[in-house]
Amino acid sequence: MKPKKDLQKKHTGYLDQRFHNCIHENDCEAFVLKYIDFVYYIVLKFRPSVEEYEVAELVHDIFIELLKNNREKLRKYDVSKGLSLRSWINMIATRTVINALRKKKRSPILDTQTTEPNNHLADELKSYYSEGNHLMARIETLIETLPKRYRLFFDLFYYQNMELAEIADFLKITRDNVYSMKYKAIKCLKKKLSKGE
Amino acid sequence: MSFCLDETIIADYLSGQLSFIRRYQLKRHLASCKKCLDELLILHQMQKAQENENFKHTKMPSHSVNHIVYLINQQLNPKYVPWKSSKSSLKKTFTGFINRVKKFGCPVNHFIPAMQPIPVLRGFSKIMRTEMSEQHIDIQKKIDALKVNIFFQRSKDAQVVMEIHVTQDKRPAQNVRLTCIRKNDGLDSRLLKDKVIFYDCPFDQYTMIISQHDTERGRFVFDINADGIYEQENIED
Repeated sequence: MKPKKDLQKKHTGYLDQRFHNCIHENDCEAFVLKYIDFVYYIVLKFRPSVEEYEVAELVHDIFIELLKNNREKLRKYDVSKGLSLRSWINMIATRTVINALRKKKRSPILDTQTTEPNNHLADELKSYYSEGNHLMARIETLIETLPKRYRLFFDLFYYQNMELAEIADFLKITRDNVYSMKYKAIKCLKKKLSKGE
Repeated sequence: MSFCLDETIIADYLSGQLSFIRRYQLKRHLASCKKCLDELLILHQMQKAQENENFKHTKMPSHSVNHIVYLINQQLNPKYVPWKSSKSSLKKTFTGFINRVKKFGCPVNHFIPAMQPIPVLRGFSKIMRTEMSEQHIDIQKKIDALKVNIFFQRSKDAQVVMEIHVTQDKRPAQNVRLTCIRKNDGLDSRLLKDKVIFYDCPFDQYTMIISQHDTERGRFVFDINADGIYEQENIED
């Protein structure tokens, strides 16, 4: 049988001394030194859209964002919500980078992201629409008129080129639900395409 | 630039703890807000990358680390104003007064006869005329044409009286409203006539907002505690 202390640790999570010192003792240097490499890694993930000379500046901005206003963002972290402190820092850091890039009117792209649309959709719908050259443009217009949940599905499946398993993971639904959503969304789109002809 | 979604909602969503209704609302929002969808997708991918990739191999160059740590310390360590600093500031004020009198060509000893009470300094309330001690702090700020003087005095245990003077062209500023927000409590907002006094403010973090003609002109954030006053540097965007 596990001692009570361990069980408590499991439920409340474990926050290290550096985090505690930063929040309560106003001593954030050890905290910064612990997470600086991780924050650096996050900024480097945006290398396609972040210039090399901007990396250090962004790392600095992320820590300021975390620690400003009496460490407001760090204080918001709630260990009982199930997200690790590293994930919380990851989220704040990512948002800071996105914000900085948007301010500079650049779109945030990760080094693993692809921006090409999914062509499988066009193949599936070819038999319903004769003008092959204009098919994709027509599909894109029609997607905008679909109900919101189908539009979201097409955003992920078609524009973001995500696999169905990835969509299920992202939307926090089961794979069966995604398959059903795909079937219904494509059926709805086909209906609109045939009506348009 | 601000985001539509609060970070606590995103955190709950990413950890799968968002309630069904909130998740449904979020998805509806994502369907119509491209920026949020992009943002959430990137966050999702970053979380996956964090779980799957070994980020421990990524090391920031040491010279950059040192520089960033130095900069963060510079920006985050607030200016420290100890209670005892008031002694010198009040002394300066008093010396200034004496010098002004001297300018009139009148010997100080003649001007203030022996056994007379301490002269009443113009613009100072009763609190500030009390004997100089280590219990006062005088902070002066300048916002465009407005000069803001904030006097702090410890009144009781763990309590402070704040007296604020705002002047413009050496006269009390017109149409000025002072709003004092206590972090863990409420706010108090007053129109300035000659001065504004906030009595018995417990030790806490305060934000003082100075607005003129219903437009915010500036704000100060400070912590008051037993050691003194820590003013926060302005590190907002």
